[in-house]
Amino acid sequence: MGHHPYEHENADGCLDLETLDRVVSDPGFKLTDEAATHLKSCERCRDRLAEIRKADLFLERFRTRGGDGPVEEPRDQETPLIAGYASVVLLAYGGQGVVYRAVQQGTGRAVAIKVPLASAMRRTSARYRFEREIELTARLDHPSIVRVLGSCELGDGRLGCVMEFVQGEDFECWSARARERRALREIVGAVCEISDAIAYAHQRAVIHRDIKPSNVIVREDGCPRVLDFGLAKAIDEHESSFATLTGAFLGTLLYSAPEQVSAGAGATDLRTDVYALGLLLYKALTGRLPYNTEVPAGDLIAQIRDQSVARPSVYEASINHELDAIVLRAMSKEPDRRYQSAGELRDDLRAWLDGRAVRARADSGWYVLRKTAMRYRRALALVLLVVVLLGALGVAGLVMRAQAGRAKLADAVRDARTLETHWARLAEFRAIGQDNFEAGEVGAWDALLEPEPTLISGGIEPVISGDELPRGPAYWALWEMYAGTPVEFSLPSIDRSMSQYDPKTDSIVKYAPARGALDWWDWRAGEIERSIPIGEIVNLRSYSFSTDSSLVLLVQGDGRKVLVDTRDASVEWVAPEIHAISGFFSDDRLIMSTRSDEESSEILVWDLGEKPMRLVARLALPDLVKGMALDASGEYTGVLTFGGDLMVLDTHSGEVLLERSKDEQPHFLMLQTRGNDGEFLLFSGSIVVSLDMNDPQHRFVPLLREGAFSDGARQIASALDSDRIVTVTDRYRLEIGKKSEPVSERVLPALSASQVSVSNDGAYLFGLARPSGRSIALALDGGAVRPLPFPAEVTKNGFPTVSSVWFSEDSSSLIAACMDGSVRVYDTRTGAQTWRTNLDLVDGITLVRTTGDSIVVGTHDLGQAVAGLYRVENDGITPLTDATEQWISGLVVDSDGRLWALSGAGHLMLLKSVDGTLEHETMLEPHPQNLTFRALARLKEFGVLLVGPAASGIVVLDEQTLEQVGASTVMTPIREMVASPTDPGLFATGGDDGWVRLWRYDPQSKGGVEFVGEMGTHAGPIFSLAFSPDGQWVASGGGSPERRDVRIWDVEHQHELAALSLFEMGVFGLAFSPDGRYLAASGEVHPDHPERGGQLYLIDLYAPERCIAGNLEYHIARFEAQRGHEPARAAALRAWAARQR
Amino acid sequence: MPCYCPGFRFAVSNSIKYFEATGAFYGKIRCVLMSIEKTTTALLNGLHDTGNLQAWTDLDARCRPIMLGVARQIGLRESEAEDAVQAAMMSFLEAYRKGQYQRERGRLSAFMITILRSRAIDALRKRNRNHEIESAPDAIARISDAELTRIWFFERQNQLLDRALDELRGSGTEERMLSAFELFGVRGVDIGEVTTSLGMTREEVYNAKYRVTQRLRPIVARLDELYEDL
Repeated sequence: MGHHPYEHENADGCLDLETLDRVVSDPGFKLTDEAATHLKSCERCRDRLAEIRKADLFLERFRTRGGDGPVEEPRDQETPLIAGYASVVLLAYGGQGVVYRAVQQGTGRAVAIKVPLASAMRRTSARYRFEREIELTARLDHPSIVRVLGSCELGDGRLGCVMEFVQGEDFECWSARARERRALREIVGAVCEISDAIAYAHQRAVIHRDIKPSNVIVREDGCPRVLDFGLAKAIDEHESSFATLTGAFLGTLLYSAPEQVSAGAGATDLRTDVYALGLLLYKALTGRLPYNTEVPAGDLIAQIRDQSVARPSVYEASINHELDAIVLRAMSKEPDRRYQSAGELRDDLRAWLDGRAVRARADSGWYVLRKTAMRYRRALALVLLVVVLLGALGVAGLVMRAQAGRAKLADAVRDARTLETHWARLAEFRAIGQDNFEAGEVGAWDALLEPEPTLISGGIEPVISGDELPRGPAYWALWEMYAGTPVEFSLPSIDRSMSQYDPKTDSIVKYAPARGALDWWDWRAGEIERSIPIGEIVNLRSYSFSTDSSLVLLVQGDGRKVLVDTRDASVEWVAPEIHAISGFFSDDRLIMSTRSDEESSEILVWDLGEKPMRLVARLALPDLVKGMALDASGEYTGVLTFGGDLMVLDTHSGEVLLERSKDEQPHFLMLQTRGNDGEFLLFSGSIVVSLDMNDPQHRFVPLLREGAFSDGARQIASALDSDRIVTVTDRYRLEIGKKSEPVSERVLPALSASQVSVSNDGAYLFGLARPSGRSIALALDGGAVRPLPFPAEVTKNGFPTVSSVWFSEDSSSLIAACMDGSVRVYDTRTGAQTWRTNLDLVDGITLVRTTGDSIVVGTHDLGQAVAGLYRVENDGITPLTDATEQWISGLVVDSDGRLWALSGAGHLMLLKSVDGTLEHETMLEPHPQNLTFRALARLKEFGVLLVGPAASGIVVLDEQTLEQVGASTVMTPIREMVASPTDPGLFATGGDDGWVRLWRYDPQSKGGVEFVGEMGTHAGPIFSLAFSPDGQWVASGGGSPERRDVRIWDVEHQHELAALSLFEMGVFGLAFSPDGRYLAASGEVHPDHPERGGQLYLIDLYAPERCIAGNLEYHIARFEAQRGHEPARAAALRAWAARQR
Repeated sequence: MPCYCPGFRFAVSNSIKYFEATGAFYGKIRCVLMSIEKTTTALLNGLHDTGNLQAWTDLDARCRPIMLGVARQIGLRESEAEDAVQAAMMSFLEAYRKGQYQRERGRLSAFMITILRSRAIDALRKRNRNHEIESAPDAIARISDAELTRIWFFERQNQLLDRALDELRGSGTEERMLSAFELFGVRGVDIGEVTTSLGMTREEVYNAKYRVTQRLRPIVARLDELYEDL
C-alpha cells in the first residue's frame, strides 16, 4: 500500500497536501521552482501525488452528480438541536427519515418531529417535496388525521415537520385484538372514521395513496388517527407530487390497488384510496389479505390485478352479506365500479352500523359470468370453438348458401349507395362547369419556370431557387430523375401538396380545385395531356400511385379518400365514412390506416382486383399508427405505432405475421422499406436495424449501431440501395452507413432535417437550408460527403463573459456586451473587431440593444457598481436612468426609439428616447417568493408588455402608461421571454425547468394567455432566448452542467431543428441578425477557471462554410484580474455618475 | 402494549411507526443494511421465491431512485416521472414473471432502460393528448441508448455514493468530515466557503477529502459489485 496522502505532509521540505491537491486538480496551478525540484527528488512526495491522482480519478465519477448546492449534514444524529424544543429523543427511523419525540418549550406539549435523512434531502427537488408535504398536510385539520403543527429548523439547517404526538398502537395490532373480542362493529366504526378522514382529505384535494394498517394509529380511547401523508399528492397537481419522497415504493405492494400495479396505468385518483380502505377493512375483519401472499412478487401483482376477491364472510362467518357487499364494492378491480369517493364508503359503513339499507350490492350474476368468461376466455374460446365446429359441420351447407346470398345483397346495397353518392357528387361538380377553368388557376407550365436555373455540377453548390420554398414533391421527383447529370433546369414553386410527379407517364399530376379535375401535365411543354373530373377534394393532402400508375389515391384533409382509375376514368370514394390517415397500394391491394379515436386505430386492407373494391381485413390496434411501409416485394406490410409496437402483416390477406411489443425492442421512430424482398428498416433515433421477414427468427440486424451516431437520428433520408442508408440526425449530421463499412459522418449545417431527400441514384442529397429557405444539394460522392465546416468559433477561450449580443439594424455589425465592462463591435462580414469602448466603467453589463446609431446597455449591480441603463458613446457613457435595484433584466426598444427597461426588482421604466427622458415608471408587485423579474416582452400589436415571473405567471401592462391591465396564468416560473416578430400575440418562454414553450396572448380569452405547445427541453435552465426575424425559429441557450448548448426550434412544427453543442458554460447571449443571416451566441466564463468558457460565435446561417475562424480580435482578460479591478472601477463609476447628475 | 411489526418494520418503545425501513439508517441497524448486502442477481433470483416479497421491495428500493432520476433528467415532470417509473417497475415485474428478461441477452439496466423509455414516452403522450403536441415523445425516443445509459449510470453513481456515505456515518466517521468531503471533494465548493461554513481549517478540509476518499473506495467497490448489472 502506498503512503497515505496526509501522512507526510509536515515532513521537512515535503509538499503539503493542499499543494499536491492543486497540482492534480487545478490545471492552472504552477509549482514554484523550488517545489518542483523537490517533487522530482522526493520519492515520498511522488508516491503521495500518485495516491492523490488515484483518489482524484475515483472522485471524478461522482463530480457530475446532481446536487443543488451545499447541504450540511447533521452533526449529532441522535439528539439534534432543535430551537424551541427540548428532551429530543429518537422515536422511529426508516430508510427515508427519522422521527424524534420532543417537548415544545413554552407549551410543554409533546410533539413528534419528522426529519428526512440528509442523504435523501441532497437535491432541491426532494427538499421542495418535503416542504410541500408539510404544506399539504398542514391543510388538513381533522380529528382522525395526525395534525401537522408546522415546521422547524434543526441546528444543522435541516427542515423538520412538527406533528402532534399520538400515543397508541398501530391499526394492525388493534384490529387483531378487536377481532379476538369479536368486536366487529368496533372495527367497522374505526374504518368508518378513517374513511371520514380520507374523505375530508379528498375534499381538500389530497390523495393519501399509502393507506395501510401501519399508517393508522389507534389511541387508547379507540379513536384512529391517519398519518404519513408523505406519499400523498395533490389532485390535479401537474408540476409536482409526493409519491416518492426519495424513491420509496409507491405504496406497499401488498396494499396496492390494481391500477397501481398495472404496467400501463400508473395514474391514481381518489378511488385508489377507496380500494385501500376496503382492503384495510377486509384485513381487519378477516385477519388476512384476500391474496395468497406466499407467492413470487410477480404472481402477487397478477392476483391483485386479476384475481377476484373472496367474500370476507368466507373467512369470518359473523360477517353478513351487506358488509360483504360493502367491502367487495370498495375493492372492485375496476375503479369505476368502486365507491367513487371515500365519503360514499363512509356513508355506507354508517348505514350498516345504523342498520339502514346500504347502497352496495353484490355484483349481478351476469357481471360475474362475464368477468369469469373474460378471465378464462382462452379455455372458453377453445371449448366454444369445438362446439361451434361440430355444430357448423351439420349446417354448413345451408348457412353458406344463406350467407352468400346475404353478402351479395349487402354488397349490392352498399354499391348502390356508393354509386348514388358518387353520381350525385359528380353531377354537382359538373354543374360548376368549365367556366372556372383558368382564372389563372393553372397557367402554362413553362411560364412558371425560373428564368435562371442553377447548375448542379457535382460540388456543394447552393441551389438558388427563390423565396417560395419549400418545394412541392414534383420538384424533388424531378431532381431525383436528373440529379447527377449536368442538366440545367429548375422547376418553379409548385403548391406543396397539390402536385405529384408520375414516373410512369413522365408527367406531373395536379389537381385543379376550380374544375374539380385531376390533370396530367406534360411538364416540358407546359400542356395538359389528360384530365379526369373527380369532383371536389377539400384540402388535398396526398397522392399515391399504384405500381402501374393506373390507380391514383387522393386523400382529403379530413382523411376521406378518392380512388381514381385512369383506365376507365372512374372515381370512387373509398369507404366514405372512414377517415383514413394514410393509404398506399400493393398490386391489387390498398392498405389504409385510420384513427378511431385518441388512442386506437385500424388497419384496413382492400382488394382492388374487382370492382367494387372489397374489404379483406380489418385490424383494430390499441394505439395510433405512426408509420406503415411495404417491403420491396409488396408481400409484407409493416406497421409501427406511436407507442413503439411493431407489426408485420401479410399484405394480401391482412393476417398478422409478426408482433413485437415496445418493451421487447428499442423504441422505433420510423419504419421504412428496404431494397430487398421482405426487408424493412427501422430506426430508433440511435440505431438503425433491418428486419428480414425471410429470417425465421425475425431478428433485428443492426446496420448503424449505436455509437455510430453522435446524437439522435431524426430521419432516414433514403435507402440508397440494399446496402446503404443515409441518415440525418438531430444535430444536422449526415451519416451514411453500410453493412460492411464504417459510418461516414459529416456535418450538415443549417439543413432542415425534416425536409431531406436523396436522389434515386444516390448521388445527391437535397434539403432546405434554414432560415434562408434556400434549397441546397450536397454531392454524396459515392458515400463520401463534402464537408462543410460548421460554425467557426470566432473567439478563443479566455474571452470575458459576453452577457448579451445584438445586431445593428442593417445586420452589418455585431455588438457584444461583456461582463468586464467593455462593449465591442464586430463587422459581421469579416468578423473583425471594429470598435470597443475606451472606458470600461460600466461593470457587469447585462443587456445591450441598439436604436438608430446608439448603443444602450443595462448593467448589473455586482455589489459595488451602479445598476441602471446607459447609453454608450465614443467618448464615454451616459446614464439614462437613476440607479436601479439588482440589475436591468429586460430591455425593449421600438422603431421610434422608445425604450422599456425592467430591473430585477420590478422597476419598470418607459423612456421616450435614448436621451433618457423618462415618461413613466412603476414598481411591480414583488413575486410572493421574491423571484427576480427576469423577462420582458412587448406585443406591439396589442400595445402591451408582458413581464414575469409574477405571482400569476405573467403581468400584462399597458405599454404607454405601464399600468397593469391584466395578469395571465403561466404556471412555470419563467426566466426568458421573447415575442414573435411576425405572429401577433405569439411568444416563447424559457424557464428553470429547461422547457421552451410557446404561448399566445389573447385579451379576449379567459386568462389572457393560451398554451400553444412545448417545443422541447434543455435538461437544465434556459439563459437566453431569441426569435428569428421571420418568426419561424426560436433559439434557446441553456442546459445542464453536462450539456450546454444552443438549440434551434421550429415554431410551426414545434420540434427541434438543431443543437449546437459548442459551449462549456452557460449561453448568456443569443441574437439573430435582422436579415436572418447570422446567429450570434456567447457563453460565460467559468468563475473559477477563467480559461474555460468565454466563447463568442458568429454563425453565418446561409453559408457556414464562410465563417472565418480565429480572425476576430479578442482580449484575454482573466476573471481573476477583473475581480482585482472591480472596486476601483466601481468607485470611479460612482464618482463619475455623481458628477454627471 | 404489544405491537406486531412485520418485515423490516421495527418495534419502538412507544409503538409508533412512521416509516418502512427499506434503506439504511446511519448503519446503526445492521439488518436494514442487509438489503444492500445482496447482489442484484440474488434479488432477481429471490423474485422467483414464493413469499419473498422482500426481494422485490429491495430490488424496487435499488432501482426506483435510479429510474426516477433518469425520468427527471429526460424531461418528465415530477408526477409524470413517478407514474412512469411506477408503470415501468410493474412492467418489469410482469416481464420478469413471464420470463421475458434473459440475462444472457443483456444487462438488467439495459432492459429497464428500454421499459422506462417506453413508459416515459407513454407519459409524454398522455401530456400531449391534453395539449395536442406531437413532438415531445419523439424527443425522448431520439435520445440515444448511449445517452440514456450514461444518465442511468450517473444516477446509479448517486445512489452508490449516498449509500456509501451512509455506511461511513454508521461506522462513526465524523459528520463534519463527511460534509467537507462532499462539499469540497465532490461538489467542488470553494474551499473558503467550506472552511467558513464548517468551521474547519483548510488543512482539515483537505485531510477530510482524502481520508474519506480512502475509506469510501472499498465500500463503493463492494457496492459496485452488489449493484452488478444495474
